[in-house]
Amino acid sequence: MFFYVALAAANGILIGTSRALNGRLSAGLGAFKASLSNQLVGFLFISILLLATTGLKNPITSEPPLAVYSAGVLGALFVAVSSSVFQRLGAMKSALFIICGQMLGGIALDYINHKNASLVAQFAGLSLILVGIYLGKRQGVQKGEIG
Amino acid sequence: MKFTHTIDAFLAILGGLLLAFMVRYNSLLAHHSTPFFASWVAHGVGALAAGLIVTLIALKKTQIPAQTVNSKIPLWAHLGGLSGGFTIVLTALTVNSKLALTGTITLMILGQLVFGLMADLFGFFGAPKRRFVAKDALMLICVFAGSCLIIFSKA
Repeated sequence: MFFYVALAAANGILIGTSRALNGRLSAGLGAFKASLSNQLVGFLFISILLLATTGLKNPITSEPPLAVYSAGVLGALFVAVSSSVFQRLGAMKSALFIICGQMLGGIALDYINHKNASLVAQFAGLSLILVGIYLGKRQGVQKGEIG
Repeated sequence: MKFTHTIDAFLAILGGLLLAFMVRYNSLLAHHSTPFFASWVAHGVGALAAGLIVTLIALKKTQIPAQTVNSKIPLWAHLGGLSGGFTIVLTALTVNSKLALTGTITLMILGQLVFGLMADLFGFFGAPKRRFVAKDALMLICVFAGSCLIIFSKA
């Protein structure tokens, strides 16, 4: 369990790095071209990694539902939605609402798939996180810093 | 809050929901194959979708948006896709563990906040340095406590 906690927290570092780099790229190219560049760079990079490790072997062990292939489309839609609301809501409110939606989605999907959590505790935790981020807000938060 | 802002607030929440479903689907594909394969598919499909959006915008309006005339882009700014590629791999691993979706999202937010504070403290990525203040500590305590509640309330 501790291993996965560390892994998930370390993932925050990767996301923070992506965001900082993507923020700089978006400033030059705009959100959509920056997103396209990121997807292409990531795709080429993983292609090389896969070719070097497993080669062309089909890795699918059992057939997943078709919907799983839409993840990339959802990501592109997210870029469209977030870059649009950022301009009008500002970084702080955008981040709070996006985190709120993300966690509500997480709580709902976990509840549907596992049903092993206390919803009261989940919502109390979500509230604490949102309050914390709101309290920690500072002047002049950079566009695109969290979300 | 103006009415348009209410719509934007709902849009932002919808954006967050999109992220939750994206993570869920990536992890489900990883469960049926490997985390690296899931990341590869997500980037391939994501590139197609982003390419489509860029093309549609280019067809719709010919003028260049003001922000694209920004100064020269440093090479390092193009490397966000590398960490992004690993992000999906790590996310798939943790979502498919006991942390599930909510625990994973929570810890990623906590990790990002800590990293953000470190970046400010040391001025990573050319950002101006900023001291750690009392309300940063307050924020971390709240987010940490909230994360613990979410993760340890699971059976």
